[in-house]
Amino acid sequence: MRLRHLLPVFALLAFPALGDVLKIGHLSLLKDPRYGQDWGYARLITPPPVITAEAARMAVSDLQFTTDAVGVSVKLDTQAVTSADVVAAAQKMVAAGDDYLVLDLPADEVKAVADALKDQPVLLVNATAPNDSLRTACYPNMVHSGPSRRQEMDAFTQYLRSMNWTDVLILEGEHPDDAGLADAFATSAERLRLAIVDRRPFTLANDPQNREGNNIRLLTGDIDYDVIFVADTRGEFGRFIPYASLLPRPVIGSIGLVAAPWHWAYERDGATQVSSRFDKLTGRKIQPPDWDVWIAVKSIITSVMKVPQPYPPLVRGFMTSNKLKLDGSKGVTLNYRAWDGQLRQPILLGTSDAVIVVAPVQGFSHQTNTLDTLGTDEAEFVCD
Amino acid sequence: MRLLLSVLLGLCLAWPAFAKGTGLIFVSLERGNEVVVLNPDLSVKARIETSRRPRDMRFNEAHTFLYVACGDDDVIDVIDVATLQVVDSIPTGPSPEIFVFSPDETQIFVSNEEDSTMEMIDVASKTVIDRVATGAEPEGVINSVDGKYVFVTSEVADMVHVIDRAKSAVVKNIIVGTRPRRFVVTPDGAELWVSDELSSEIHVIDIATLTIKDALSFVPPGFRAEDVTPVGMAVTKDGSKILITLGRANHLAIIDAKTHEILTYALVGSRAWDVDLASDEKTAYVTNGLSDDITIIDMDSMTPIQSLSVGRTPHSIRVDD
Repeated sequence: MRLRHLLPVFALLAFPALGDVLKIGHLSLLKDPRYGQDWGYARLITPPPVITAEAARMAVSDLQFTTDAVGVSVKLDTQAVTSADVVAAAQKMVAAGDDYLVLDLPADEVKAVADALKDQPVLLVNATAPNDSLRTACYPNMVHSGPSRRQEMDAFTQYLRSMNWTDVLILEGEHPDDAGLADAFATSAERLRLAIVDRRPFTLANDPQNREGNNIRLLTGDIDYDVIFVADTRGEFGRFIPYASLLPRPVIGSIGLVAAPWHWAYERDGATQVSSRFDKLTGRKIQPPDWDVWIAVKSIITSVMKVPQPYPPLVRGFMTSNKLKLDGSKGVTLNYRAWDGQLRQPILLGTSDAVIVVAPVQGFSHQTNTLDTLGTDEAEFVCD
Repeated sequence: MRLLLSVLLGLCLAWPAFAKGTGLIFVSLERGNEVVVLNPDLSVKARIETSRRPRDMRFNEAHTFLYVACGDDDVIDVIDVATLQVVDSIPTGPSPEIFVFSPDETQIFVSNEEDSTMEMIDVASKTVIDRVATGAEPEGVINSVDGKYVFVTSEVADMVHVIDRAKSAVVKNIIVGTRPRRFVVTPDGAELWVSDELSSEIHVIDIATLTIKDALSFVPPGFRAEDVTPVGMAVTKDGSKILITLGRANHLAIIDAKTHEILTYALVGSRAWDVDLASDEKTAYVTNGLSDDITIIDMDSMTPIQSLSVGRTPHSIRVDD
């Protein structure tokens, strides 16, 4: 029965001076393999390619009323380059005055940029590389807006636990990222005491001498399990698994039930408005990496307006405090974790056209913030 | 005696504006595409099929018509309170959500959440007179008591737009908390209360100076601040109490409007959304968006009496009494 009086917030807000220009860079990869035409990141066949610069533009336009009101003009600098050119491009953008860089890049490129810029007073937002190794690298000038793999895997295991589907067969592809994904799932499964009954490699070929590696019925036979987890980050074989397993079991992971920060079919919490604004602006359905970039730009603008001085290290400090109350249209207020710079956020588990459940799954609790049941928690987190 | 009664009854029928209302309770069902009508004893009297996604509802002053904003068909449906039929539809911009009448009832001010405008619609001719651009996802709309201003929230821009009716233009933007949703104006016309859904706050704006004078936050026992997502509000006619639904915290907060002290938290359903008071103010009604029910609160004891299943995603509730 306590009512807290807060100080009039207005007095506390020191806005950047009138006429300030906020320069935000957006760096992406030309022909990003993750956004291949026949295999959308959301596990959908998405003919128009994912170009997250559009999402960055939408964030700037969404907040224009607010930035105009405080006299800040936002300048967005979008660059798409080849893998070999990312470091040079990032350095050039910083030299040109982009104090904030949103990176829509795979993990290797993020690492290269972060290593090159780690002593600069800039803020890097890793939007779309889920690798936990980028979190444990503890770059002092980086935060991560898209979910870590661990956040997504914890969403799965909470759901499996709540459904009492405790025995899991993992099928994994040959790409190193596939093993990484399977490892992340296994780590999360261990925390919630799920049993991995087996991990089996899958190869996409019809070599009769390797029937146990390429025949789905053989691959899924000879053992019992409640659910199949597919680790197939490049979309090579996953889509052929549902309805083809020896036992009639649900498929999750890279296909079937998929964990993502966003889903175009999510209808609650004002999500529809974000998705339909995006649709109207770009003529295509919003994909998870679009949300990652949208929220990255939104976090930068929102935070810059709330710090006494728009200096990137100060802005990062604000973002990773409980003072940031960011609206990602997912029903709860979001901010970044102090220990790993990861955005706390609900994770959606969805099929190709519906959201089945939103994690944290009801019943999972945490001593400080329920969102911290997803991802590496403070007590278990160590920098490399 | 019988003659006298029928004369009285005749008088009542002749001047419905002065009649006691029907006592009917109207609940818009956002996903049910209907307005469910409950008798005063809470039995279902009718289910009125409306255009798709009915949300905010307002009576005209005489309570002869109930207007319902229907978000997916871009219209405001008009329900005849006597016959419980949809008798007309007023076209709006995309996705109308919340609206009010101008004090003289000649115009409707409606927020169109998908094209970021507040539209001013002439009720008689059903035409748009003017549009005012707002921040993204405009929601709450309310008049100042003197009719000079219309206030609109933008959920994305985190601000309250102050629109001068005479100029049809935004004259001031007031930055409030995160995801501002709805309003009440105190009956003395002095204060505008704004619910900030995601920063778990209520901002109190002084209307004379258009500045923030207080920010309040409420945390029912056993909840955390981030569970509290305030949305709907109602104020008693004497301006002494303000009722605020706390969304995911599943409670209705009843606040002393003068001291800003919390009087009580009443347990309601899942994601409490809208709240309305009966005109005798003995009862409050709350819609619960995630549990598909409404909760009835006794205002003397400030405790919940009953929850009642009504249909898919109840949005707003209005009592004709």
